[in-house]
Amino acid sequence: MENIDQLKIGWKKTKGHKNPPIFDMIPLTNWIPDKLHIMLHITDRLWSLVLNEIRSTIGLNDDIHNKIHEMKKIGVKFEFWLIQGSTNWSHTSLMGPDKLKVLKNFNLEVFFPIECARKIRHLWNGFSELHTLLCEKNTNSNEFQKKAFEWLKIFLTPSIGKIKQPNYVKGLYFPDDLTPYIHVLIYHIPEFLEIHQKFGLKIFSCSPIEKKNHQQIMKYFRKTMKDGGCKKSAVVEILESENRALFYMTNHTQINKTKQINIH
Amino acid sequence: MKTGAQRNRLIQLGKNFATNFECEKLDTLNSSTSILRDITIQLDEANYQLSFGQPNTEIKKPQAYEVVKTMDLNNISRDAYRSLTKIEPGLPKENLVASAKSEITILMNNAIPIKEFNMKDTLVDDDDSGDGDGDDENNEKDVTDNDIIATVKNFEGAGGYRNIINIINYLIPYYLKNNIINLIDNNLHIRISGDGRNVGRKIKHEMITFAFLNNSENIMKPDNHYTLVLYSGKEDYNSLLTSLSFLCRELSKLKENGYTDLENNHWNVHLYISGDWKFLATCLGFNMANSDSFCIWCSCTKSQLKNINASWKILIS
Repeated sequence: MENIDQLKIGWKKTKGHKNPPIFDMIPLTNWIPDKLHIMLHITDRLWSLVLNEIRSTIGLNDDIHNKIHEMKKIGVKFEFWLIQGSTNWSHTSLMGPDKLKVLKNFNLEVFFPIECARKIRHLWNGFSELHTLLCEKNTNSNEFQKKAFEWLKIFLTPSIGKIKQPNYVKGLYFPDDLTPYIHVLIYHIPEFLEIHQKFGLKIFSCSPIEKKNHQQIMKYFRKTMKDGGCKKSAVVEILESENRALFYMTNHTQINKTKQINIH
Repeated sequence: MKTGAQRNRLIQLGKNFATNFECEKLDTLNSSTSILRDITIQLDEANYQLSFGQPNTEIKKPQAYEVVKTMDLNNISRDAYRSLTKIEPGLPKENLVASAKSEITILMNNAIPIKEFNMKDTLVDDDDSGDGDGDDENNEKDVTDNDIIATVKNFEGAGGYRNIINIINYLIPYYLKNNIINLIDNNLHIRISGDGRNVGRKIKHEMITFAFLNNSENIMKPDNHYTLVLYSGKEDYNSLLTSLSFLCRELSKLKENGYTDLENNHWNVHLYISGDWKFLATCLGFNMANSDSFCIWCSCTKSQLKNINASWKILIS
């Protein structure tokens, strides 16, 4: 509770602050990271790490098209293509639900030797489990903390032995590969789980907001004058339709239904 | 047959139907209140609908409300609806629907007024009163003046704001009626969220919403998140600061004094905020996630991120 007041006055002394907080009435413990973006960013990270590895070990060539057919099996549209005029490859960026599908079902053995594929799958399953825990209402914070920390250890599995020697076992990723969202997942999410136990973190998810955002874009293109009319700006038109939505929510007009009767 | 004569014959036929119906409704339907509404007759190539009783604008009114709702929620345009009424004459006419819509709009805008503001004006105003070098602002002002002359009205930077108190006032009776909140547990948990978006290629919108966490079962539905502030412009600190100044004032009051509804019940208000990293960091006046001390909640720096044995707690210093 006090920390936000301190930030209000002492934001200049706190590292990383450029300006005083706007919502200075909300305690910092109620600034809640959102599970949707945690999922999106971390799966993004895991996927790009895998792609990097494919790039460095196998290299991208025309053969990749056959292998990436694996994506079709799990119902995700994904392609590689050469950027015109260069030797760089580009690929489809995955949408939210597709990311989860890849995380859960993608067969990594197409690209990697079995040992390595197993390791990555283990890591991915671990994250998938953490994500399901985040969605549940009764997740125990201590348990989550333990699991999250174990997952971090898997993420950072070190290599054993020296490169090119027979007993060399390749590890997974390096501390440099960690991202802010991973930091939040491991250190702060357990705290938030404990503080907001009675709610669970699910209800702080931003997916309805993203959906609302999308609805308003649709509204903008299909219902407003797109700022072209002289009377109202599009944002006001959108807000008016939100006002009406409140009316529909609270007023249920009763309509007598008409039943059809066929007379032969 | 001439159309005029045909029309008269149809009317005659209709009157016969009506008298027959009046005679027989008690015996056959056992009801004295039933009304004959309409009959459709196909004659040659055309369909005729015979309507009985007074012109049906009054009867169609609830239907018109329902049509407005459907059009609004499913983004059906007026033109599309007009062509639908041609196919199905039973639907209320477009003018009736349009007047029902403006009725609802006016009613709701009285309950929850939408305050308009322009980011440019408010930004310039702010600069005038405070710090910063004056020359730049004057230049900016010149540009905006020219812009206004160039295009008759420019909505760039337009914004709208709905007062959170008005919305709560409007919703509390509904929530009480549906048992989502009750007077025994007089705590309101309000969650603020925000997000930016690109609309088309050039336009950017920023949206700030709130929802009641008390309504946790339906919180995943976007309809239960109510927009407070909507403006077209960037998602940066200064824009947010100016557009949110009204909201912040209200929130501070709510937090301090709680909320008293129109029936004089007192509610304690708890505020929460959630959003993606960018929104949270900007609202805290914080660096972006790629800077050295990146974490909003603790003092962890990039180099310390690698040290996995450290433990980090939400900053309470």
